[in-house]
Amino acid sequence: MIFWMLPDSGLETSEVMEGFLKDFCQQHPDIELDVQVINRRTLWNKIFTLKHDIGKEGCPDLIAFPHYWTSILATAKLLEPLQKFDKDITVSHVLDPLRPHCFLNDTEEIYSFPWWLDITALHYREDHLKAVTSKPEEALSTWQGMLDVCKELRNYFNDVDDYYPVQNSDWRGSLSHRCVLPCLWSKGAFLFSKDLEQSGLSMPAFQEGMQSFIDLALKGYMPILRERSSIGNISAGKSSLIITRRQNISMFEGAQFKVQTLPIPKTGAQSVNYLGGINLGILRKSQESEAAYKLLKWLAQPEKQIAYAAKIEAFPSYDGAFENFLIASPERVKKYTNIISSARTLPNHIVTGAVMEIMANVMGAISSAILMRKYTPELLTQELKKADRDVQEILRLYKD
Amino acid sequence: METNKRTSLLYSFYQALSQHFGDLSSLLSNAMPLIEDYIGADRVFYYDWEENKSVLSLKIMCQGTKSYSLQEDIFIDKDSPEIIKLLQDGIMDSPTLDYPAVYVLLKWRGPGNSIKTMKTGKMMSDSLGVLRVERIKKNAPFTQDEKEVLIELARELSSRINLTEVDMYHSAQLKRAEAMNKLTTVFATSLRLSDSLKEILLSVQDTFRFDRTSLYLCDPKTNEIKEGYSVDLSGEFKTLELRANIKKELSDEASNSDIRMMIPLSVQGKNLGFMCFDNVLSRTPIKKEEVLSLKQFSQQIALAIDNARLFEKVQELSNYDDLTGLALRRFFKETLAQEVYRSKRFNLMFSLILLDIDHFKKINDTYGHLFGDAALKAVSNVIKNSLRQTDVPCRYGGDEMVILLPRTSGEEAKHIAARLLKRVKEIEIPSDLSGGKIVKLTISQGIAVYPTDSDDVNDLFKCADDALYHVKQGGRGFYTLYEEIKKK
Repeated sequence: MIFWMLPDSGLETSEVMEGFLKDFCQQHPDIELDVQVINRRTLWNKIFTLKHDIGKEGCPDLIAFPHYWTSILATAKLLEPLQKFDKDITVSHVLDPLRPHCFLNDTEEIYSFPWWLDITALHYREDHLKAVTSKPEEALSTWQGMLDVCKELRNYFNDVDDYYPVQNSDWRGSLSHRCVLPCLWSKGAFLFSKDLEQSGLSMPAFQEGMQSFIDLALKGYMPILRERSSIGNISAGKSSLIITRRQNISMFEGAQFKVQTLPIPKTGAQSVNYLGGINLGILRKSQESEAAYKLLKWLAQPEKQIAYAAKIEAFPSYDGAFENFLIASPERVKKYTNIISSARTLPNHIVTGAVMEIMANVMGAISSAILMRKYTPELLTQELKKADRDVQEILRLYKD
Repeated sequence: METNKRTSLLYSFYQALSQHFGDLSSLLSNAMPLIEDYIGADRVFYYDWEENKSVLSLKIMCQGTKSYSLQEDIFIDKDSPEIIKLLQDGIMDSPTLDYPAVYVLLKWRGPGNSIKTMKTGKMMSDSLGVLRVERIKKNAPFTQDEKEVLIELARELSSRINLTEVDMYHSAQLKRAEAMNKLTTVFATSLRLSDSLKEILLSVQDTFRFDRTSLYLCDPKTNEIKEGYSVDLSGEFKTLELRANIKKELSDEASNSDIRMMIPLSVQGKNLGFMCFDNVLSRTPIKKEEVLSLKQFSQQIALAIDNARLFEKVQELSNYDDLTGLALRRFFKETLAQEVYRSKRFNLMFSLILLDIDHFKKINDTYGHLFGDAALKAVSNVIKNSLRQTDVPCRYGGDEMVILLPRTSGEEAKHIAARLLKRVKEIEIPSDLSGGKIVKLTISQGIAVYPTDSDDVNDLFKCADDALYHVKQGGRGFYTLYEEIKKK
């Protein structure tokens, strides 16, 4: 049985997963399990070709994917409804914001099951911040406040080579199209309206939210499109802040410094944080769908969700498991109570993945323009206009 | 490194890569661990040089025997001294990494891929890639000698990439040619237009894997788009709602994009419509070779549509009377047989009206055939315009006509007959055909009901004929049910 998963633990994903699945393999010696790690971009491209071409890797039986892709995967007839394996399957214990992401639009057919979730937050090095502010929580409560702190940090660490106040957490090293979402939402902007009639990319609030995030790179506070880990790294003392989806509770354990966590600074009226999830689904083409369902059920158990979430610095997606996980660590409760209460997620619609791809392209173009010293607010307007037309077209074609 | 050792190393690299790799990632997954091993590196990365975005885009990383698909973009400024050096010397040290790492240039000439390169008319284009070779754990700088070996290995790998890309291009071409053959057969055998359109869209979608394929057909007379169909990633065939100005919208969108395409469909200068292909959901650029194949293919599609339209036209001509536009006897009999089958199965009734124009022979003899034809045409128009869509009128012979009224009782048929008679009486035929004289028309109608009067088609006709005869005997210009004359 082939299990395609995203690189949850970077280069160590295969090893981490194989270790994690040891118990499962012992309980099911008849199931020969092959874990294949596949990145988000490749997985996105596979959605559109897998139906026709299985490829040399073979057809996966179970796949892990971003929660808001359920609709597109189900529409493309790639996923098997889970009721086929268990007619009594329920997602009533899944956390509220993730529950709609198990279904195909408004139908009652369950196509995917939530596995884990993460929430973006701002983490900072306590020792670094102490040098520039006595009240980091207050200073980092607004986006402008954070930019001011960055300016202070830049001056303070002026003599540290390759120092950047903010570490870039984007996998590609670009301006992250996921981390920008809290900046947009906080301003009251949206990607597209709930009724799917209107793109939000041409809203002034959208451009303002984008500009806030872009300022991090434009003002030289965050490195973009550079060799990964070469510069601006918190652990190496070459950075002080990071906006990331990882909890970072255990990542810096044993380090010489302490890392604190705060909600994403607000760009508008209130702080909004991005909640993302990873779901599991079974391929229609699977030759071993029963075995795949066994693994899905095993991974979805609350205690397994808790164990895996702890390994990868994420959160479990089961209601009870989530609470237990949170309560088990007083530090986690302290850090995350406010962040969770203001978290929002992307809608589960066939168009969401494509709109996020458009956003990634805009961010890529802006990043290159900044580095070529060609960036202007007019360029952003122009890029957003183009993207707005594309989003309108997608909505027109796929809203029904 | 000794010359002999270097030669044998390069030879073994050449030998290891002298096999068929189906795609670029297989080739790289085989070649990169060898390079790592020969040079004593810890990790090797392969990046595509994306000139349009000015970035090196990471595709694959090898560590030991394992390969990983990762994502990373690194900005490159072509005018920077480091990049100028890389392009000149084929190798450069990493400018920022704090451990030994070198970038090695890969350069080859391959079949260009995007629609944009197609506009230049060049079939082959220069491509660039880069290997990053690292010693993160060993932390030993690369010697000049090792750098020279890396340049040699990169040169060999570049030529292998070139061969693999050409192979991939050829096998894709072969695949498309096979698909084209298959599709040509499919088209040749689907004569009904609706079947053909569905087949065309599903086959194109299956062969080219676009997010959406749509087909728009123009009205042959007005050249306006009259219908549109599509198949998207759900694989379902859908009829499209047409917006005003759609052709211009689609054409504008396609001309500025590499994820949309529009191809006109025409046969012998006759515009049939157009096909649109898009990847607006996946955002995957449409490949150059796909455009070329589709352009050839569009000719086949246009012919298939034209054939299907001609076939439907011929069928229409053989089923309908040229003068009156009413169904002909053969088509009517087939329809009647189907109606009898349906009525029997679902326990339904239907009625038949048999009618003719009163004194038609006399009219013909008095005013000539032109007037007779005009009278037939006018009565037929009244019939066509007075019936429901489900009713089937037919010219049975001469001035004799028959109407099949599904799910209609005798009483309901009488109402229809009354309406027909009233409207026929209102007919005015141009007086120049009758020498200025106003000629009034009337019709006589006999009605039989299935299964009340008979459940046999021939008997039913006879019943309707008897009723008609009775009306004629009674002075014409009226209608009656068979049931009524039977009672009398």
